[in-house]
Parts: sequence; C-alpha cells; structure tokens
Amino acid sequence: MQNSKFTEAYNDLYARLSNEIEKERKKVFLKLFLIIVIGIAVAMLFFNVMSEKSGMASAFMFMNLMLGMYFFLIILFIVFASRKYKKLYKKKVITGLVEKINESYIYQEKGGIDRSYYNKAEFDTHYDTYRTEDLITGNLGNNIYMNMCQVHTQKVETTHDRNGTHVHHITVFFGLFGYIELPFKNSRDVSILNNDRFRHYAKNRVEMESAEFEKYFDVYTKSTERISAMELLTPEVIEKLLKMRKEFKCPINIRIREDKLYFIVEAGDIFEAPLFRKSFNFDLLYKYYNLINSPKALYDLLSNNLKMMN
Amino acid sequence: MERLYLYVIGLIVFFLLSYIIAEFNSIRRLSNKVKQSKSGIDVSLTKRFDLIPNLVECVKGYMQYEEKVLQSLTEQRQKYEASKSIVDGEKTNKEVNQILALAEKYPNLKSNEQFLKLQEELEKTESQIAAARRLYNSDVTMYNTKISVFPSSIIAFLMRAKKQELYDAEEEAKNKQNVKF
Repeated sequence: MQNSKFTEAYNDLYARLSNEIEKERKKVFLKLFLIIVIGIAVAMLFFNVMSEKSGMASAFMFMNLMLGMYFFLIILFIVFASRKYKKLYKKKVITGLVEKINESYIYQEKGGIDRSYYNKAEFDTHYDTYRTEDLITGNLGNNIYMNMCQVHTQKVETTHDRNGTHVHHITVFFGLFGYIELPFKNSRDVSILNNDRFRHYAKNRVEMESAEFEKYFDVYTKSTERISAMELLTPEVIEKLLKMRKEFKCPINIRIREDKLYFIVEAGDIFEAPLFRKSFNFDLLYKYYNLINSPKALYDLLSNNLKMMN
Repeated sequence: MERLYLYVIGLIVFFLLSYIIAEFNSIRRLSNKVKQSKSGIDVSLTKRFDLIPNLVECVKGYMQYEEKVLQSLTEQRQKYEASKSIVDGEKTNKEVNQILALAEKYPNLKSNEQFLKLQEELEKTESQIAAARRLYNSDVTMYNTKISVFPSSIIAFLMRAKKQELYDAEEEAKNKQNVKF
C-alpha cells in the first residue's frame, strides 16, 4: 500500500529527473551492447584464424580462455561504466527523495555513523570489518535528532587446505542502521528483535499475546522490567509495528537503551541505482522512501508510551 | 551382554530422571513468574491508590454533592489494603474512574492545576495496570499450557500444580463502561 505523500514526491521527481537519469542508464547499456558485439566479432575472427592454423581442438581451448577473460572484462566494464549513472542517481534522485520527506534531512553519500554507536546498540558484536555509506542526518521535529546510514559488517574467516590459505568475508549484517536521540530521560532497556529460533528460549524474553507478532519479533527486557515491555507494546503499537514489518518485507530490530532508540533494518544494499530495471522503478523508490521515513515512523509509534513509562 | 543391557537401562533411567527434573523446574519457574506478575498488578494498583488521598483532598472542595462517592472510595481503598485481592482492587479502581468521570461536570475542578497533575499521574498508573494485567495473563497462559500438555501434564499432576485463573477481561470492560458518560 503506497501513501499519497510518496506518490506526490515520486511524481515530482519523475517529472524533473526521469529523462536525465534514464538517459544515463541507457548509455551504460548501449556501451555494453557495443562491447558485446565487438567481442563476438573478435572472438569469431580469432576462432577462424586459430582453427585454420592449429586445428579445431586448439581453437576451442583458446575460445574458452577468451570467453572467461571476456566475461570478467564485461563485469568490470559494467562496474566502471555505471559509476557515473549511480553517482548521478544518488546525487539527484536519493537527495531529492530525502528532501521531499523532510527538509531538515541532509544526505551524504560517503558519510557514516561511527562504529562506537553500532557497538553500543549491540545488535551484533561478532564482526571484524565495518563499512558505512549513505549517511542521513536530521531533525524529526521538536529538536529530536536522528542519524542513519547503510552499514555492512563482515566476519573474516581463514581456512587452510592443501591448496593453501583462503580468506573468507562472511556478511554479518547489511542494511540500514540508525539511532534517535530521545528528548527525555529514559531508564528502561527494551529490545524488540527479529524472531530467532535459538534466541527464542532466552531467559529475559517476554511473550506477547499476539501470535502473529511472536512470528516476527522477540521482545526482551531485564527480568525486573517485564512490565516495561507491555507498557511500550500496547495492542495498537503491536498492530502498527506488524504493519511496518510487512511493508518493509525484511527484518527490523529495535533497541531502547538509555537516551537512544537504535534500529536496524536488514534491507541489504540500499539507495543503489537499479541497472537492469527502470531508474524510476516505483516499488524500489517506495522501499527507499519507507527506509528514509523509518526513524520518524518508529519515533511516532513508540514515543508516547516511552514518555508515559518514564 | 548383560552389562550392555544394564548400561542401556542406566542411560534411559538417567535421561528420564533428567527430563523429569527439567520439567519440574520449568513448571516451578513458570509458577514463580505467575506469582511475580500477579504481584506486579498489586504494585501498580497500590501505586494508583496511593494517589487517592490527594485526589479526595483535591476534589472535596469542588464536589460537595458527591460526598457519598468520595466516602465510598476511601472505604473501598481501605478494604483493598486489608485484603489485597484482585476483586477489591478492581472495585477500588472502578471508583477512582468514577470520580474522574464525575470531575467532567465541574469545569473549575477541571482547570485546577493540582487536579490536572493528579489526572496525568492516574493515567500513567492506569497504563501500568493494563500492562501488568497483560503480563499476568501472558504468564498464566504459558503456565496453564505447560501443565496441560503431554507429557509435562504428568509431572504437573504429580506436583499437584493447578490451573491459574486469567484476569477477567469482561470485568474490565464492565468497569470501563461505567466510566463513560
């Protein structure tokens, strides 16, 4: 279900930018098409020459080698040729969308949130590398500040076998991470985490009465603060949180600790320009819109009950 | 061969005993959780009712014709203090809500700063009570499910564990209805 505010923003951005952005995207494919055509022509030429000089078997072997190198070159080409298009997309489309949602929001492609904040949130602590980009900062209204960015954390594992030592980078988390500075003193510690089969039986889990909510989320508090979970997650909040989860179509985790509300959305690589779809794909932009709007949506959902609790 | 049988029987007995102990502890833990959440309701109700003397003092001057209601509230609170039963707690809560509803008839009272502050505090405690009730019902449901499903129902039967009553939602709905105009 798309909302009218997004539709208005989409229509405005589409009218202003779609031609320019789509033109840039098509340029990438035109170049790619030319490269493929030239590549096939060169390959066929080489094949004819090789088969005449060294026989069919050698020609096939040489072709296989050439094809392998050629595919690698095509991938490299796509990465480099699309850089201009991707940069333009972030500069114009994402920035435009961010401004449409909230004029106070500032988008920085290369910015990020410091690792210390991510560690304080304790969504995951077992990682080795931490990369960020696509920082958005701003005021939710009434001087309530938020920061969010794309985060990619990985674990580095080394394996040894008879072929040597291999280093593997395993993704731990890839998506949106952010925090909101609460404008009031908070003494409660409540976590609303994605449902996890293994964590499900942890001691400090508080079971909610909604079976559907239990399918998607696990709630944790200190053993002496179990009522806090119920105070925060009233039936209305549970319903809205479920709706949000279904709209995002990916796990959401929330942690309220001291003076901050931390959240992560496992949305993968976000705010990237689509290459094999139209640049102004409605569903994709609606996903980005929801992600950019998520701090405000979460704060509006939880703040009243949080204030009552403290 | 005989030794092997003995080992196997020994292992089975060991696992059976471990299972029984684990289930016993689990039922005990859930029972303690129910007691804890029940006392949570008491704590929340007590917190709310501690505001009653201030409330009575504040509205006395304005609601001269509601003396009987104020008197009934004070008595009901004392009854709850003596019995600490959920039924008395709910009756007291109902009386508090009645006072708040009656206050709507007195515009001077509604603008009184102390009354407004009390009203805010009472609303806060009301949401705490609602949360405490939900938690209690959740714990009772888990406990009742545990002692009624097989095979833990056998252990529960041997422990003489009894089903606990849920907090009555219908009773709450009746109370809320009485508050409306």
